[in-house]
Amino acid sequence: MNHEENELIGKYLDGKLSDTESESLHNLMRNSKQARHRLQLFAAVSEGLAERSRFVSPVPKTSRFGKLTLPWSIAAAALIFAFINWKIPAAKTITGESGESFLALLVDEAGAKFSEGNGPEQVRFGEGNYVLDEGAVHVRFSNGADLLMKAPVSFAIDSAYRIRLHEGSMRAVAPPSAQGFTIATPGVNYEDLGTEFGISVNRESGVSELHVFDGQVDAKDPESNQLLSSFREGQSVTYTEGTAGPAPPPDSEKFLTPGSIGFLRWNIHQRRFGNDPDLLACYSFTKPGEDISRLRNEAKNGVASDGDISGARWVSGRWPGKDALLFDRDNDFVEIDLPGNYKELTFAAWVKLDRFDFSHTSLFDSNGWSDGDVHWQFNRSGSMWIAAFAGNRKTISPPKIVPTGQWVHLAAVISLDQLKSEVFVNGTPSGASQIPEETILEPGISRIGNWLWDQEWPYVPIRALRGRMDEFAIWKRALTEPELQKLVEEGKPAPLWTMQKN
Amino acid sequence: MTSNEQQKIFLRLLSRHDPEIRAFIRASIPDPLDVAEVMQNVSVIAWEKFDSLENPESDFGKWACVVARYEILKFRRSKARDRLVLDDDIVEKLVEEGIEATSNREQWIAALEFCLQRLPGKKREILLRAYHPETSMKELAAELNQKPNALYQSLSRMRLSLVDCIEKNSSRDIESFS
Repeated sequence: MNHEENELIGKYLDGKLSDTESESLHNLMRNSKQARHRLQLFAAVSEGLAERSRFVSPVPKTSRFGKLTLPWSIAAAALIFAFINWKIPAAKTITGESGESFLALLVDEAGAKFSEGNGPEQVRFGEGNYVLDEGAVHVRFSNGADLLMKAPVSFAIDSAYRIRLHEGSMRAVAPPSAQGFTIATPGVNYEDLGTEFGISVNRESGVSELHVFDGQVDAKDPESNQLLSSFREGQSVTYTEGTAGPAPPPDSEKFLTPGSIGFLRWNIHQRRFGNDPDLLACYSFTKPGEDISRLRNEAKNGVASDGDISGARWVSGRWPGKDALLFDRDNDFVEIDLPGNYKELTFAAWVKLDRFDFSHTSLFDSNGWSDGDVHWQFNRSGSMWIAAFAGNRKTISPPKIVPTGQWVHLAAVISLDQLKSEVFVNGTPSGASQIPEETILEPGISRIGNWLWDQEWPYVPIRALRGRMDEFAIWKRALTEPELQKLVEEGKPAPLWTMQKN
Repeated sequence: MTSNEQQKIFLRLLSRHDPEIRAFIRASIPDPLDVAEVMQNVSVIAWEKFDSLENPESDFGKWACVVARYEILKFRRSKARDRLVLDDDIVEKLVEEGIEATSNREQWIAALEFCLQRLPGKKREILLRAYHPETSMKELAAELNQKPNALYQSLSRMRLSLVDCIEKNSSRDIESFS
């Protein structure tokens, strides 16, 4: 059928034929059985679309589709993955560095820059003056006390139990082992009694401000060490030259938490990361203000579409303030379109998995399963692999066990240039497998956290993900192990998280 | 079998075959409102004659098209000649060939789902909204910031790509899955 004939049939069904076109259509229909057959097909598509349209509302909304109504010929063989003897290696124990003299360690930072000569020795803090010009830091003392602060801030460490705050704000979290931990300010010393509190100092005015978030803090005269007053949870005070006064409510921007530093760190890296020219998709899972069913692709040159969120709900992610999507029902998924044909692909995601409920659980599955499709999945025992369809042969990476109940970084690489595929858990590789040369990579329309099987099947295979996801990215090149480890480091959920990893 | 049970079976079969029967009618009667009118008559007559159908599970689709054939011709006779788009001889052929193509139509409608999923999500959404009975093309065009004619052209292209995709895929077998 040529273009003109298709157009005639379309216009006929849409009631848009002119008189001359009507005459042409008559000639065509009278003389060509093929054209009449084509008209039947056009009519079926038009009615089928009208039928399907009942599943969408006329106002903008994520599209939804019902089940197939009729079977078509099916021939299939189920694929059985027998992955045995995959065990989670024993967790490493935390070992501290010994023999080094230091009072505190830098455990986390986000874009931190100290003044020349006023910074830590790599990550070690000894006695001395420190000036943080940019970013935020999380410092842990040997007695267990944590200090969290954001630039600009200037302080001195006198001992593991005493610091002097010259300027700026900090939050202190002191466990019972650090009782007596003191922050000295102009005109008043604040002594901790097993607590969490925030302190600010304005160098020019000499005013200090205290907010007790938990427990009790004593304010003492620095000269006589006499108790001026005790403050309890929820209380705030200012001291000007030793005299107490009312304080404004605490400003959460000034008093960071360990989580907010992690989130800041992630934000800084995320901005740079989006500029990678090889990045096809970068879903950072930031809940949009308006259309909450849209998952934005933030890659500068990313060809993948925004995601259509279906069912999955917005919840919190790796840190307070970081958004994530929760997948926990059979129909929860995000659909994306990844057009194009690729030589190499890398997928990476941060997830916290609850369970593996099905024989296959989908992380990222092309709709259907035919040439070019890519499936990144787990089996019921939590083994993860990536597969690509290649005629009668499948490209399947060696599997790797993924733990549940904690945030993990998962990645999968397929390279036709190197003829290999591999998966990674927290940057640790599974070992590569050879892949058939005829493999094609054309993921097309795909679902994150689920699979759309495009045939009627005796049973409907459900591959719904159970857990949270708060980042997902796709590159058109094979990322190396060091690159993936860097991503893990930049996005790790907590400072000491790497020590918990498998 | 009680009439109540009969009715249930009838309704199930009618709703399963509804899109195919409508598609069969649509080839000869292009206006969707006319199709709705004919379809309504078809369901009344089909219920009246349902007793005479020996193997409802296997034959309902084709049988309903035979019923629809008379309703199509009846409908055309009731209309003024100038309101009919196609001549009688062509409709005669379309109806005969259409009854024979019942099983094709079942496959087409099933393949539509597969082919729709191959369209980018945004396009699919616009296409389905355009086919929603409550959608006004003018309003949809305005909302999408397009001229109605440009929207019509792009919808036509999408429909054509679906037609081509269905033709290619309606007898496709998928051998295995992962």
